[in-house]
Amino acid sequence: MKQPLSDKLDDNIQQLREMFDNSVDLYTKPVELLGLPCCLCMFEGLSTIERLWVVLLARISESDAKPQNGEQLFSYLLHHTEVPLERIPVEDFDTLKRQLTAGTTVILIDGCTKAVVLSTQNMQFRSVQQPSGEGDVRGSQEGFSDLLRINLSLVRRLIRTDALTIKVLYAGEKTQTEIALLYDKTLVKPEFLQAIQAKLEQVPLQALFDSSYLVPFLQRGSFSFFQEVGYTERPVTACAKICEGKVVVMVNGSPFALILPYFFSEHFQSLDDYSTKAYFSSMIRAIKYFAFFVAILLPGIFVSAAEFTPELFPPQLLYKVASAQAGTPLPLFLEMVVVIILLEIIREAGLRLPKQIGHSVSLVAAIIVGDAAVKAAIVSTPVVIVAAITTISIFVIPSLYEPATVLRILFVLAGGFFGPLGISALFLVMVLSICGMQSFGIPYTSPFVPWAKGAVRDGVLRMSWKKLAQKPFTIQDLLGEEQSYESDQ
Amino acid sequence: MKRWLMCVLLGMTLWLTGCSQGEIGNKMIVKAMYLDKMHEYVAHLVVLQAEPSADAGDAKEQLRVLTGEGESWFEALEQAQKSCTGTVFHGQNEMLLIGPNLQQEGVSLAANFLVSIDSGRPNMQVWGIDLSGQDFVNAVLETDFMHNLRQLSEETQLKSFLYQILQPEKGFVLPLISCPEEQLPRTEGLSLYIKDKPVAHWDQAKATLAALLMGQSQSSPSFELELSGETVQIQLSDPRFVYGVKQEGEKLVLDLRLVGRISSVTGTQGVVELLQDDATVQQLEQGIAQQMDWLIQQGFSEECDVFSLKARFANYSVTGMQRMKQQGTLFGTSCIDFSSELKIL
Amino acid sequence: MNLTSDKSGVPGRQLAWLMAACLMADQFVCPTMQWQQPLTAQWAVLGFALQCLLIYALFWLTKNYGEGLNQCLIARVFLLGSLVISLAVELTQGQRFYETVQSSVLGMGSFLIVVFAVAFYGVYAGLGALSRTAFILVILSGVSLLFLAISLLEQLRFTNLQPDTLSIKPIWNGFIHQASLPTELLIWPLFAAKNKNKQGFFFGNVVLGLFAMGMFLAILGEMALGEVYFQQEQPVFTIARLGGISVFRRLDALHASVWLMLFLIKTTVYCFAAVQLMEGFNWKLSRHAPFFITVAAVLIVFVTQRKAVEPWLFFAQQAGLLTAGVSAAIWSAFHRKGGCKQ
Repeated sequence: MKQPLSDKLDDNIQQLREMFDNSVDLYTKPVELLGLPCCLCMFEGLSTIERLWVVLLARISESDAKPQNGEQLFSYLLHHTEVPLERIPVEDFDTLKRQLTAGTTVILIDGCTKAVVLSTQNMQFRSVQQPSGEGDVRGSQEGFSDLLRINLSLVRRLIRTDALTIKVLYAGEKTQTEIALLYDKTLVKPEFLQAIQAKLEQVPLQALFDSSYLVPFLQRGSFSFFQEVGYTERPVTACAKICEGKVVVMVNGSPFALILPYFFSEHFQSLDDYSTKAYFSSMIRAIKYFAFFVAILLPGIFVSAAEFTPELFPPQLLYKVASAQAGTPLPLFLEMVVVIILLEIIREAGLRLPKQIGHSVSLVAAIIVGDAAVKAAIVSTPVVIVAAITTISIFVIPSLYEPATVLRILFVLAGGFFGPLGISALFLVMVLSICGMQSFGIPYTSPFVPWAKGAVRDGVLRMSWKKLAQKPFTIQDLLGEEQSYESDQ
Repeated sequence: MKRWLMCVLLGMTLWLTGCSQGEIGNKMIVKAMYLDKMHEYVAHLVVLQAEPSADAGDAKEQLRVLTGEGESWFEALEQAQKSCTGTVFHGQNEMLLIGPNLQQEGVSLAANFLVSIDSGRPNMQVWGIDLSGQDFVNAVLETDFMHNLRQLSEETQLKSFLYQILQPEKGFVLPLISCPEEQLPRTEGLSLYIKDKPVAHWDQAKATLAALLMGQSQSSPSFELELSGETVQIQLSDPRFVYGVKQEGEKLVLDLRLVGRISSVTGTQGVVELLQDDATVQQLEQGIAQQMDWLIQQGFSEECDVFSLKARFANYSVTGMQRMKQQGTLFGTSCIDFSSELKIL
Repeated sequence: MNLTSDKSGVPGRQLAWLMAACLMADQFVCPTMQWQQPLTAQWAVLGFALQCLLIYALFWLTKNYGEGLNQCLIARVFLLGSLVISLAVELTQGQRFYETVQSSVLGMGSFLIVVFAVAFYGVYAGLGALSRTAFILVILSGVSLLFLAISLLEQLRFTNLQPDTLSIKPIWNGFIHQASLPTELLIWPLFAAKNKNKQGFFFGNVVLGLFAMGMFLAILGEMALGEVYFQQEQPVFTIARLGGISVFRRLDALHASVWLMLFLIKTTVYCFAAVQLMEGFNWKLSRHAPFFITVAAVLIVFVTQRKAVEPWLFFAQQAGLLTAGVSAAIWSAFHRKGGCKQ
């Protein structure tokens, strides 16, 4: 039950101060506007008094109007001045709270149960910069920032039609964080949108600081290594997905937008694919697929082949691997696991350390692992080479880094303990897991399985823009439409 | 509860695997196998033992020979395998060498035995070698014998694989290697086997023509041929057989034509100058035709069809082939019409 | 959620891929139920053609038996029994193939645990996941076949083929050598019963593809190995050991890994069908109990076999399938005519 504003100014001010427990950054200044008592309320740091003076106070001071009571003053300010007040006034304390924390100034008026809101935001935020990941050669270099309104503006200026619709929700009991849903109203299916909205409205989070917090609530309940929700830091990518009929979810404070639904093949697509020639981007995509499977399978296959089916190695390589394994103390699969974990430690250390020290860490790691450990016969060169190749391969598809890292260790264990049977079994389980996933009713493996025409035009290979432009792709072209958009768990 | 159960199950499975099967570092990689039969069956396994080295680039290979004797092939191989501490690995064994005694009898028996266990890959190359067991071991350990043998096996056109000698009733050929002292090993033609016994030895022209007939061709084979009492060295370029079957009444005739070019003919006096219609060329062709006659008489019979000529007739007309077989007119040279069209290069 | 409470059906095309994967498994992991007889490619192919025609005809016959298999108690019981035996036979064949494939093998216990772990995951992943996975596996198998053919190019000889005059008796022998009622004959309509769109049957394409593959393998094998090919216990694996590409002389382990996946998905599909049938009995069991009961039953049958598939098992399996099919047919006919007394 929302608590409405009182018509007594002092009561409102007191209630407001109690609500925020007399926070030091809450600025409340009783003033007189056109002879009537009012109170300016804002949060310092989020809003600026200078802007308030320029936009409102200076103009009001020159006005000839003489309202008799608070209601008249309210009506005058809202309807009879050119002051750019917010269209919807504040009528209850919940809305008051929300507006103040959004950086606006709320003017409480004595004798009126409504308050006017003025946009005087002046908060410090990270400007629009290049995104941290998703690097590309051509194409836009802008990335989302942390502020939702800025991000919405970045999208709005790229899709300049009336088709783009933005809806705002709130989540997080303690933080009341804004969430925006962006979609093309002519392409998106209403049931699909309603399902997403329903899920977001029921999110039982206490605090929401990043878009990734919402992901588990948007996916089906069962565990999977892969995510049915995509991320992007680029406005251009978000717009492209909106134009395909997908929904983009943005969270205030997070530069990563969520894309729904998201498919496995999209991990291998990037902005550059559409800026370069079709044959080249097709080749790069094929290499990405190859790199992914090399990343997860190569260590396991290497270990399995060495332990169970050595005949797979070319003769020249076989005795080198045998001598390398004979020269080190650990079993091959254990050695592989150790080297992989070591590389992960180095990567994590390089990520968290300040940039000045990060380079030194890489150098030391390379010397220790790459040179000294081999010379001391603690690890062998074939293992180091294989682990290094897979680590580099993983970085080709950053969005699959997490599942690929864990899966490659699992494949090493499967190959080391169970040999080819283990590799086959785990690979089958992985494929079953991917094939069993659905992103809001559409199979995760679309458009490859079930096969749809999108697989040919823009799957592994990419057709030229002349062909792509003939019939634009939307998710409505994908099979699986007859399935429910509700998740089963 | 379910997670605990899965962990227990996984732990049990890992325990059952023993955590590691034979490690690759302990494996002795068999590169060649020598079999012979003296009083007992003898097996020598040439193995590659990798010297332990964490830096694989510095790894050196070390050849060893494991020897076993026994009253059966199984025992001999078992003994050979037990004579080392590591595990013998046959997965990349590409060469089987048959000693002089075993060449006389029992080749296909040995082959069948090897295929029945994982020791034999179906496409192991099989060679007859004129070294005794001890000489073989000495050659392997003291000289660069294995390297030379490997090179020879890659370069030579005369190859026979294990799966080709599994059926003695069809006949098979065994390429021979001769290892004279102080010289590199070289091929010494082919031995023709019928019912697991050597019945003929083909060398020089016969060996080259036999290899061509079996589909193993070299781009520039050379061989010796007797022409007018003189032995000449002939080198051909891109020789091949062209097959055609024609019907002559009720009989099928296989038209076998050798086409190619003569690169050079070298006699005792040096290189012989040739013109297209030269009598020398005609003599040459007649000489080759004679060799072919012998080959077909020996290699195409009721008990032997090493050149798969029967299949050529069958591909044309199965009924015709079977009728000729019943009438006894299928085998030998009677239904084969050989000719050659050799041009001067 | 039980398997039977999932009301959504799998589209016919996807189901066809799943059945194709199951039928293909036997081409690679060769069934050893039938008695071995020397054959040539000609007779094997012609016999297989007859077998495919028979399967095709039987698929047409059984396509509407899904409801009957689900509802008729006798059909359900006999099909369940056949499935248990089929699973045991598949495990034996798979285990023998696995022992042929690699020199150092896992113990029987580990092998069974891995197979049933995958089956457990697959069963509860659902038919949709299984069918989509099957599509990928069929593609992988096709790639494996392509590489197999490329690796054997050097060894192929047309002269190894053994053509013979056509006559009925060898064709008949070739047919008998391979003839059997595949379990997929009844599983397919069982799975398709939930399909809202009953016109999605693609079994013609599946059978044609299967025949093409069988013919290709027979001819490839005979061209590579000659008469010896059909005498091998694992003929396709034998020719896989022959060939190599570039420096990789032994690619058979890679091929075998793909074929093992076909074997795994086949066992998973059989488990799925068995669990689905068992859930139809409406016993008050926990969610995973039908799966574990199936496993227990399979293991009991499995240990009776020792190392070879007993002929009596084969006959029991065929008899079970026949009985289930006939019962379902009678039930369907009875209910179609509306003669059921309440």
